[in-house]
Amino acid sequence: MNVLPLAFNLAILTYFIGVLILALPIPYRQLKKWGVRLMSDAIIAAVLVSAYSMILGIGDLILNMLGYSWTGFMAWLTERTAILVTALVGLTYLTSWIKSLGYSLVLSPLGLASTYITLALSAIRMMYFIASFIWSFRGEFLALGLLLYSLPFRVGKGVGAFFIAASLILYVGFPLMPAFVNVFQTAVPEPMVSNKSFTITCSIVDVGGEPLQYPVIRIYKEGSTIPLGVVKGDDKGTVVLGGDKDIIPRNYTFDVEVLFMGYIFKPSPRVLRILPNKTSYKLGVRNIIYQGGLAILIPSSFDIINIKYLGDELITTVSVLHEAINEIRVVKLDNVRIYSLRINGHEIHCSWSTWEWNGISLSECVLNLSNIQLSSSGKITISVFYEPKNYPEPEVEERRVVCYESLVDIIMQYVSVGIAYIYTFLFLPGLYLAALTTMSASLARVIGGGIKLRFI
Amino acid sequence: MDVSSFIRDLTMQIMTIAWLVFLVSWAIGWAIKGSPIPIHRVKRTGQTLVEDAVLAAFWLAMGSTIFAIISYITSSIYQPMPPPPQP
Repeated sequence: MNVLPLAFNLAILTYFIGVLILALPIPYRQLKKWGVRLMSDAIIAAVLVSAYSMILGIGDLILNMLGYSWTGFMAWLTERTAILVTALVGLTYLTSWIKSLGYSLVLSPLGLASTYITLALSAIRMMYFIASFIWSFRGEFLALGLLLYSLPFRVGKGVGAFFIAASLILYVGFPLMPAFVNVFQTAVPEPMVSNKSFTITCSIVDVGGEPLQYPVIRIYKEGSTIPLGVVKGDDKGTVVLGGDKDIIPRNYTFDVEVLFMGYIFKPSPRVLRILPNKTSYKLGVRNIIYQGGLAILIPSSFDIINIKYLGDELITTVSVLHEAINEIRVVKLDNVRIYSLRINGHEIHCSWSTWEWNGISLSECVLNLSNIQLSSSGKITISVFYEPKNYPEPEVEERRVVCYESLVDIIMQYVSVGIAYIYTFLFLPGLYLAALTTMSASLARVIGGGIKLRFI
Repeated sequence: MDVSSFIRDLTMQIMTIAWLVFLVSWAIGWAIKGSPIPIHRVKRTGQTLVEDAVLAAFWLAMGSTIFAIISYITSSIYQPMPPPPQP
């Protein structure tokens, strides 16, 4: 059904009803006035119906004059949606990550931020819906307004006038929304999805600089005895901190312990200072000589003079600094076969004790050097000839490092992002929509509509 | 019968009724005005009825012309606008 001819016919009908009332033989002035009013309404309605194409064209003309377009507005909306979706994805990722770390208690602020962003996203979707409706159906909207406006006895004059005004004001107003929002918005912060760029690599090596395979490091906040985290290294002795697994602030100081072959070692340096421009650290374990599944543990009462890593043989020469502790331990994987163990050239028969450490079977032999006859130079040479094996990965449950200071920073950042998004994506466009509606109502009054239905 | 033709028929009927009402009003107006009642207000009412009836007859006669003029003027004023942009 073509709405415009119908509206035009309704206008003509209204006109003749007005004339009929004017011609009535009833000497009542208010009634006659009502007839005249209906006639004038009909003429205005006819003018508006005839000017349908002109009203549509005026919108485009104003937009062209202002230099704004619907293409730009739709692109702006898409960009806004993309920003919000990115923030929401980042937030979801962060939430699931913190959950996996076992810090579910701190999730409520993130839930708040998530609610804000979801709300802003819903607002954008609603705006997209309204804008698409206006852009696609403004002709039909205007025609419906004209039809309502033309109805006799001013039945739909108020609503019709509002529809006519809204079809024009919203069509011109929506593309101007980016300009309005840009004037009032503050800088939209980009949420930090992860701190991947901040990564620290620690190489754990023995006294000779050889890597310890699969070391486990235990990290303490400086001065604390409760470990912040337990992190496992790889087969090359490298432990990676940070990335998307740990939350470590810059300019932070940790105490570090190294767990290897069932023993806890204090590395050098023991205190790790996280400097902004340093990403690689070397932690030396001074009391261990390691090669292929076999380690010689040398206490600090000995001075290590020489080490030879020969693949299937490990030779070290030490001298006694003081005789308080004169035990040297040889620890090996249980499946490592020892061919010979010599001290100063003398074959030693060890009694191996076996134990299990984090899924690894280990054997240990304690060499008591108090009974060993020292050479004239006072040096002790220990050589172990054996079948080397690869050190297996210990079954240590990792606990990644999460510093509350950083966590709170990230959460507060997300909350502030959420609030900024609410302001930029919900409050400002909402305000603008309210302004457009008010303008439409004002223009509707100019066209002749009021919401009140007045019969006389 | 669709709505448009129904409205057109209704308009025609109202137009016919309006002419009849005009005649009745005109006649009643003159009747009141010419009646031998020496009350000025009554004579004045008759005069008003005649005036309104004549005015209504004028607008009744001009009705179709007025709408034709509106259509003609608006269609001659309108110049084609540039096409709307594509999103």
